Amino acid sequence: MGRFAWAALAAAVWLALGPAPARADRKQAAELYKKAMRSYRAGRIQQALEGFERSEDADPTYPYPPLALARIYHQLFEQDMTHYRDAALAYDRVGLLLRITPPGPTEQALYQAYYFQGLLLLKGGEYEKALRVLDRFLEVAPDFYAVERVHNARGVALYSLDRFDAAVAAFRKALEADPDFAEARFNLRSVYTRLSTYNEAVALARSGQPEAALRRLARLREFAPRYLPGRRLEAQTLARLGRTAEAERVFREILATDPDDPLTYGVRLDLARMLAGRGQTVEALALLRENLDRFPRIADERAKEATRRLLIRLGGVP
Amino acid sequence: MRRLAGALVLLVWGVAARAAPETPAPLAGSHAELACDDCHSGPRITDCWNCHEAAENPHPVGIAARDARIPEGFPLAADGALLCRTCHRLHGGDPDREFLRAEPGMTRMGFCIQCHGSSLDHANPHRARRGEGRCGFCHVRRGGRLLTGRGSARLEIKRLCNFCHDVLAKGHPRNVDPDLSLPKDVPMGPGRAWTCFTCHDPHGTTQTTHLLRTEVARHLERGREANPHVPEYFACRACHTTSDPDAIRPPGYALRYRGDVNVLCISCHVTDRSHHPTGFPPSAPAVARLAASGLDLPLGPDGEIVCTTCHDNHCASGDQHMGERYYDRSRGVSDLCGACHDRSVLTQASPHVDDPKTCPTCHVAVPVPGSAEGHELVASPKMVCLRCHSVNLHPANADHLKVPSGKIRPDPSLPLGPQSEVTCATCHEPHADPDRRAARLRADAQALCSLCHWR
Repeated sequence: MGRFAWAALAAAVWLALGPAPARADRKQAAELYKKAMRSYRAGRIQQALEGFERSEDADPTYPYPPLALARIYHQLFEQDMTHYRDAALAYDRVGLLLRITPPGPTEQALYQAYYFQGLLLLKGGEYEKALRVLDRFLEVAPDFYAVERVHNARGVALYSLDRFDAAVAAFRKALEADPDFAEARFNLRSVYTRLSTYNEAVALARSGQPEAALRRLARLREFAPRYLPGRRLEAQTLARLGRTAEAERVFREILATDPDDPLTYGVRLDLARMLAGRGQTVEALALLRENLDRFPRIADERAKEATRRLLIRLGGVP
Repeated sequence: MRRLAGALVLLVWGVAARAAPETPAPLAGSHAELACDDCHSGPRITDCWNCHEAAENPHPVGIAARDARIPEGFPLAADGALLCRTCHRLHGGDPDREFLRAEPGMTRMGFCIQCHGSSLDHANPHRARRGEGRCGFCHVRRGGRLLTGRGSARLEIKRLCNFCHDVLAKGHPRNVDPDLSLPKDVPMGPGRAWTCFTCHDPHGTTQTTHLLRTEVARHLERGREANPHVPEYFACRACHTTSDPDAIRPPGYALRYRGDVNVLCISCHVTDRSHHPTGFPPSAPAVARLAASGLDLPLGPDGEIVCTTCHDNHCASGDQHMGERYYDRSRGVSDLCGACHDRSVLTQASPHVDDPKTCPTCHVAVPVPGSAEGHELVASPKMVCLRCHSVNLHPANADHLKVPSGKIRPDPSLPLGPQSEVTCATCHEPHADPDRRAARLRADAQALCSLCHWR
C-alpha cells in the first residue's frame, strides 16, 4: 500500500472514530472558508490556498475547503502542469468525506468533486482510477446535467486502456444522452476504425484466409500497436500457418511488454501449447505456472480449466 | 610428407580463419561512405557524436535504464548504460527505418514498447507533470529550470513527435484529409505553419481520444451530418483526396484512408456492425453463384467483401447517390442478395416466429422488452425485408415505400420508419401474427388502406 493510501486510511479512521468537531470548529472553518474565497475572487491565489488550508485544519470534516483546494490546484495544473499531486490528494480527501457523510439534498453538487477528480486523473494518465471515480459519480449523480461528458470521459479512459469494446459502449451512451455531442462522435469513429479492422482480421482468420488476416493485422498494428487482442490474433495466426518462430516472437513480445494484463493469461496458454507441441515441456510448464502465480483468481473458467488440463498432461501439478 | 604438408596448411588456415575478425554486415544509407576508422577509432564505440549532434536525439543515452526492460540482443555499455547502438543497428540496419533494431513489420511505437511496456507508464511524456523528469523529453532545461511556452521545445515539434509516432512516414494528416481546414485560435508552428500541436494537445485531453484538441474534434465533426452522396463537384472530396476525375482512377481511386473502403465508410457511418459481414472473401458456393448470376459485385484487394461490394455511389454515371446495387426501385425488387445467396435457403427458416434465436436475423441483437436495447435493425427497414422477399411494387403497383405526402395521414397505430416513411412493416406485421391474415397484414386489406387513405 502506498504512502498516500496509508495517509488516506489514517484520515478515514480519524474522521470516523475521532471526536466529532465542536460546533464552534465548523463555524470557525466556515468563516475562514468565506475569507479565503474572498481572497480567491480577488485573485490572491496563494493567500486563498493558505486560507482554505486553515479552514480545513479548523474542521477536517467540512468538505468545502478541501474541494476548493482541489479545484484551485486542478486549475493550476491545467495552466502549467504543476500541483497535480496536491489536487489529486485534495480530491481524495473530499471523496472520503462524501463517503463518510453523504451530502444532504441541498448539497448534492458536492458530488461533482468525483467528476472533476476523474478529469484530473484522466489527464494525468491514471486511467483505472479515473474510471473508478467516474463510475462512482454516475452511481451517486445519475441525473447530472452533463452526463454525456461523464460517459465520454469514461470512454476516453477505456480507450486509453485499449478496452475498445467497453469504450464503444461508453461513447454510445454519451451520444444517447446528447446525439449532437461532436467529441463523442469523433471518439466513436476513432474506436470503430480500429475495431472494424480487428473484426475483419478475425473474420479472415476464421474463414481460412490467414495471410489476408495477417495483412489486416499489420494495418491494425500501425494505428493500434498496443491493442493486445490484435497482437494475440497475429501470433495465433502465425502459429496456425506453421510460422512458429515468428509466432513465438510475437507471443513473447506481448508477455514482455505487458505481463500483468489479464489477457496475457490466454497468451501464456497459447504459447505453452505451442511449446509443448514442440517438446519444450519445461518452458511450457513455466509459463503455465506463471499464469497461476500472476492470476490466482482469474475469472475465465475455460482458460483456467485449459491451464489445469495442460498442466496435468505435461506432468506438472495443477 | 605430403600428408604432413597438407595438415600444416590446414592448421595455418584454421588459425588464420579463427583470428580474422568476422566480416560485419555492410553499412548502408548515409553510413555507406564511412570508413571503418571513422567510427572504430578507439577501443570501442561509445557514441556517434562525431557526426551527429546530441540534440538530434531526444532519447537519453549514457545512463542506465531505470524502469525499462531492455530486450536480449540490445547491446549496453559495460556499466549497463544505454548506447546509440542499443537501439540502432549500424551494420545491416535499414536506413529507411533509422537503422532501428526493429523486426520486420514492427511499428515505431511497437519498437518503443519493447522496452517501455505497452502502458508506457514510465516513459509516456504525455503523462508528465511538472517536476517529473519526463517533461524534459520535449522541453529545454536551462540552468536546472524547465522552459515552457513558445520556443521551449528541444527539437522541431514534428521531429519530437515523430520520434515515437512515426507520423512523417504516414504523411499524417494528409493521408486522411489533404485539405483539412482548421478552427480559429489553434496554436500554429513557426511561420503560421501547421504542426502536430496545432491539432493535438501534448499535455493531455479529457474529452477526446488521440489527444485531439476539443475545438478541432468539433470542427472535424461539423460536416458529418451533410450527405456527401450527392451530384456535387465538392462532394467528391468527402471520400476522395481530389475532385479531379482524371486522378480518381483505379487501383486506389484516390480514396482517403489509403483506399481502405470499409474504414472510409465507417468514418461517417459510425458503427462496427455492418448489416452484412465484411472483410472476408465470399465462400466458394457464393463465388460460383455470383459468377453464374452475371452480376458484377466488386470485391476488395484481397478478394474480400467490402461496403462497395453491395453499395454503389453511381459516380460513373455522374448521378451520385448511394444505393444498393441491382435494386430496381421502379419494381421494388432487389437481385443483390440472390447473387451470392441461395434465396430458397434464406427463406427456408422463417424469422417471423416467436423465438428469440431468430431476432438477430433482422435486429442487431435480441430486443429487450420495455427498452430500446436491441430494437435497432441490421439495415434500413425496407432492405431488411428485401433480403429475402422479392416483391413487385404493391399494392396497386404503386411505390408506397416513401414518406407520405401531406394529404396522407397514416393512422397512429401504423408504425413508420425512422424518417417517418412507410416501410414494409407499416402494413405487414413481422412479429407475432395472432390473426393469421394473408401476407401478415395488420388489418383486412380494405380496412388497412383506409387507415391512411381516408377523408
